[in-house]
Amino acid sequence: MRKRKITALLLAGLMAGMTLTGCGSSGGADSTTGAGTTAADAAGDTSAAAETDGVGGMSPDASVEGQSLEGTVKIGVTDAEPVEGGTLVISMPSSPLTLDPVDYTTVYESHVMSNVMETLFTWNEDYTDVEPWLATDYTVSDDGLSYTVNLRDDVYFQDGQYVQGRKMTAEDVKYSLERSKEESATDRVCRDFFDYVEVVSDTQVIIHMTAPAGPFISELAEIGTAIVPKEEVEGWGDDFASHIVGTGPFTLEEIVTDEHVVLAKNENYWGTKPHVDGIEFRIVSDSNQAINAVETGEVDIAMYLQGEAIQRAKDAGLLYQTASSAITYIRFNLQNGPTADPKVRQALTMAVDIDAMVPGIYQYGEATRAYQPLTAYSWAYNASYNDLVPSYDPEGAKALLAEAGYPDGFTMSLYIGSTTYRERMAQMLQYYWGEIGVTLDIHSSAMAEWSATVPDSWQDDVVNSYGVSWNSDPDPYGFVDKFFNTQTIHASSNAGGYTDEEMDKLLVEGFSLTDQEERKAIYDQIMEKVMNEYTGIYYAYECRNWAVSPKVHDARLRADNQVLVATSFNNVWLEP
Amino acid sequence: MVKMILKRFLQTIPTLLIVVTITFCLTRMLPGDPAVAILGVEASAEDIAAMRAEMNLDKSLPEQYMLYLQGLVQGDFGYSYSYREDVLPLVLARIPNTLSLTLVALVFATIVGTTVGIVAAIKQNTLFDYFFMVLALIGVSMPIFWMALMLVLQFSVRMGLLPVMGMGDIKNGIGDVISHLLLPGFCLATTPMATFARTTRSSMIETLSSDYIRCLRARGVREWKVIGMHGLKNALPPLVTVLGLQLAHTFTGAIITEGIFSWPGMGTMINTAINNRDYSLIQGTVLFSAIMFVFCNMLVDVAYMLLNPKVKGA
Amino acid sequence: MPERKTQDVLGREANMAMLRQERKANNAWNKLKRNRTAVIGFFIVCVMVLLAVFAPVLAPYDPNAINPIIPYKGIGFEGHLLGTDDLGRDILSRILYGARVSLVVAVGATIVGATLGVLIGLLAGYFGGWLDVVFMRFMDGMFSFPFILLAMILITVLGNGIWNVILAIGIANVPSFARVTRGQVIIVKEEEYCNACRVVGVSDLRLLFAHILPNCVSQIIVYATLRVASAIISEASLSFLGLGIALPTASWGSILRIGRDCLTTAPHVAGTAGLFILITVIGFNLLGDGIRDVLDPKMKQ
Repeated sequence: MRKRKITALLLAGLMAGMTLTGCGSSGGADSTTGAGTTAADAAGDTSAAAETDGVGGMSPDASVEGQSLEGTVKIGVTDAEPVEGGTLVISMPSSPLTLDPVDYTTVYESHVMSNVMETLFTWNEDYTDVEPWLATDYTVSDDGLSYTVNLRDDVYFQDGQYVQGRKMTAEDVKYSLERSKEESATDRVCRDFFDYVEVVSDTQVIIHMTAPAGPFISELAEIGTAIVPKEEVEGWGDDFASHIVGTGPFTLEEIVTDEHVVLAKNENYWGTKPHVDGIEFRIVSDSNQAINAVETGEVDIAMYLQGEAIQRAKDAGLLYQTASSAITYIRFNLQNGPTADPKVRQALTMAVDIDAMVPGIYQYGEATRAYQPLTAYSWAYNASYNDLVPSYDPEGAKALLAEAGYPDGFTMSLYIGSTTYRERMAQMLQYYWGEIGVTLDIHSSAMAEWSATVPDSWQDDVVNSYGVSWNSDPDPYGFVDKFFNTQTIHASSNAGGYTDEEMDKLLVEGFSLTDQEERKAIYDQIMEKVMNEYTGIYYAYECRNWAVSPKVHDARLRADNQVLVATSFNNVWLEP
Repeated sequence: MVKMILKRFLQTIPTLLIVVTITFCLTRMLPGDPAVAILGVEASAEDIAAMRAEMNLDKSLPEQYMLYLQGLVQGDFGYSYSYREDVLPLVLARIPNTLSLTLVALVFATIVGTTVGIVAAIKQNTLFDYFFMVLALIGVSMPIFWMALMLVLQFSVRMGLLPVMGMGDIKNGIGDVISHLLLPGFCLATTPMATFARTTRSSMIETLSSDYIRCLRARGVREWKVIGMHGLKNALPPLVTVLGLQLAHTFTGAIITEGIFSWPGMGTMINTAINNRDYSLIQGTVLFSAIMFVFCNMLVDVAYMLLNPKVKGA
Repeated sequence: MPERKTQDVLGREANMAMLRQERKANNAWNKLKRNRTAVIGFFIVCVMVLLAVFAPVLAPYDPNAINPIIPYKGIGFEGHLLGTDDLGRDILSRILYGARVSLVVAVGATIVGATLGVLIGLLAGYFGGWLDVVFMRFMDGMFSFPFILLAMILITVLGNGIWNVILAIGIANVPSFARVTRGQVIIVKEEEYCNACRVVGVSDLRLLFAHILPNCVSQIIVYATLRVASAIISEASLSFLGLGIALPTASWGSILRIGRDCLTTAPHVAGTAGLFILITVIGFNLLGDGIRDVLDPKMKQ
């Protein structure tokens, strides 16, 4: 029937490799973002939500207890009169590679793109729901098969090589969305449901679907579906990726790989013009250096701090932490080897003191404990299922193992990317499981090797478990559908090989319904079922750690890693 | 002489061909699929197959090898999928960075190392000699990445004197360039410096105790002339050999040092390339570092021939 | 009471004693004993070997036992003489066990490199001709790789594990051993006794292994000792990059790797591990220098 190619890109390894040390300390903010879905072995970014309005550099320390999962952290919001001018310098650990919305794969790319290009819809300030942006409003037909979208009439493309101040029209929307469906390796538009775009007038389109898709509109808020001018895309060909043109508040000025990307204020921007003259994304691979640079004033915002740098930022009163929407977990091989037995999986889960393990892995409070295969941001998140994770009980675990026929334990493997956080986790599991007689072989490798080994590994008794993290926007579809749908069984998100007819039915139902309450009821059922099957240990929400200079005002840090510069609800300005 | 140099030059071609072949074989043996590394683990089988076809990975190994060689002959070093750029400009952009770091380190090492070596030889068995020879021993034994960490800890973190990492920009003045160069340059210079000091010392001691020098002294030639002109001249050939060897060491050291200091050179790029199974880029960087190495060695050989006419025929 | 002896006897005995003493003094071992650097080097190496051998006895804790409650504790914390690492493991115990890995890898890799390299060097040097050209060009090719790069690629190809690290560093070591051996063989094979052997009809292989090889051995031993020193650094570099030894096995490089992440907050982690590497390498270098002075006083470089 519907063949779903869910392609979320994982460029983790890619990023992790930017520095030699990538595998060790500094490297590794191998987060990926993307479309609704992304596998990310987030080496480093971490999280615990902490939120406070950090006014003038007031540091919102995250206490592990009582963190609120606030979607957006406000920074430097004051009554002071904004000052025009200045360049906002943002450091990030790796260079963006391709800025073409259909090809991009990493968060670093999306940071640049989302300031140059825009989408039909955008997330609201609280990061709970989407609202129209380049669109003005939309209606959905009762059968959920067509969306009528009205477009703004005052949007102009930036000047490029092939377009000069042209107005954005419905044709551009058609071109951009259909291009994404056809050309993107990552699914960004629910492409197996999205059929085509019908141009009604310059300011109206009807989007036709083959089947209803609940998360469709929120997918259109993802930067991969940005509206781009056909002339530029086709004029530049492959080089469009480094000469992007969009409708956003900033234009692309210069890219120097591994050094910086410079954006300039778009003087003809249709919306509120930014206060700052430009943005410079500077590539600083080492967290310690990034924090130094913030202290000396060279950099205004340092993203993706790791390890010690977090402590240093905290000490300097510059630290902000945003909870990530990514879940970090290990999954078991559900089909082959000892872990095919749910009792064994339950025993393995019981053997681990997760409450001690999480702060042990994340020693600077860069994560909170998780329980379920779902981001805590989601409206479908139901904390009452947290109790279904068995509590730490090594004796009980031993008894269960004996019951399952392994009184003397066994040997199993764990495949992870070679990053500090994963290696620490693996060694802790090795220790806990060793206590119940299970010997763990850790296979730690570059993500390129991991991703060649792990997907589809349920077919053999080689990979018994694997650890990674998974990021998606808060719609539960982005998590459970990727983890537990039979159709994803060859993908990395379901490398453990989960397949269950009843589950597939539930997932289809949850996906096609458009009413949120009805959907929630379905996802509750799904979660309850899954939690009782011990598919893996979903142990942490890693948080993103940022150091922000006190001179930055009115900025927003959002849970999907974006730093928002000029939006409908904020406009960054710099204290001179 | 010219003929010799030409012959030496031609000899490098088979060496480089072997480098190309070894690298080619090794990259194909690396576990992991480059197409998956680019497209991500969630890419569909069709997309991966298409990417493999685009990268010529669907062809047989001999075919891939021939294609690569053909490309090389035409000056095409392939396309780096992880950087999404042609390999040649990518590597060419990095070479000056690595070269400037290694050359600064080597020049510094040569000057300081030989000076210390000469003085130690003259003042043999004095406190100066002992002190610097112990230092030199520590220098050759030093794991430089560890020293780099310790220096960063002391000078950058604790004292805040020098930048932790990165390369300076001439736009920010010469001071910026020098301050960024100081730590990585010093780390890289340590081993060669210590080696030069040791070699120079022993070579000088041997020369100075030769009959020829004794004879000069007996004839009343001034001491500085004896040492500076005659002693040094005779002590030079072994130094040149050591210089050639140290070149290779420095290059190896650069790979790790660059990583620690995030120096945007070949070393950091090689690591990215290996992690991403970026075959063309691995091949390109290895080939270029081999070319540089072979070329520098050739220079050393030529210098050796000039200094020591006896080896002309060898 | 002194016995009476004739001058004659006394003289002969004194002569004999002197001769004996001289022989004894010329014996390589005794020469080595008198060489100050060699003695210090030998002492350091012995201490490290003993630490490694008796690690299970000496280590106060299980090197892999984690204790997440006490990460990054400093020197002397509650019975942890050298403090703890990120997982609360005892650093002293990890360094002691790490000595095993570092020494085994370094010596193993040198043996692998020496065996292959010497073989290639012997054959190339002795037979010359096309064999020499092919072998040595190939060695030149390998030699043009930056050493650590070759080891990095090899270990990625082979996968993690002690034996693979030994193999990777060993293979990367082959070209230099081949060069050293070949150079020596070319000199030795022209010597008089070799020609004599050939005239007598000794077979090539016998000549090569029974006569030429023993005459190259001293130089190879000197070179090998110095290579052990650099192999220790190579192993540490690989572990530092996260390649090589499988987790959670302690090696000095992997302790350094952890130490790098906590350089400001817990500098003792990187500090102690690095110091052990440095001292051990100094030990092997001193020993190598000493052996060289004894076996081949002329070969200074």
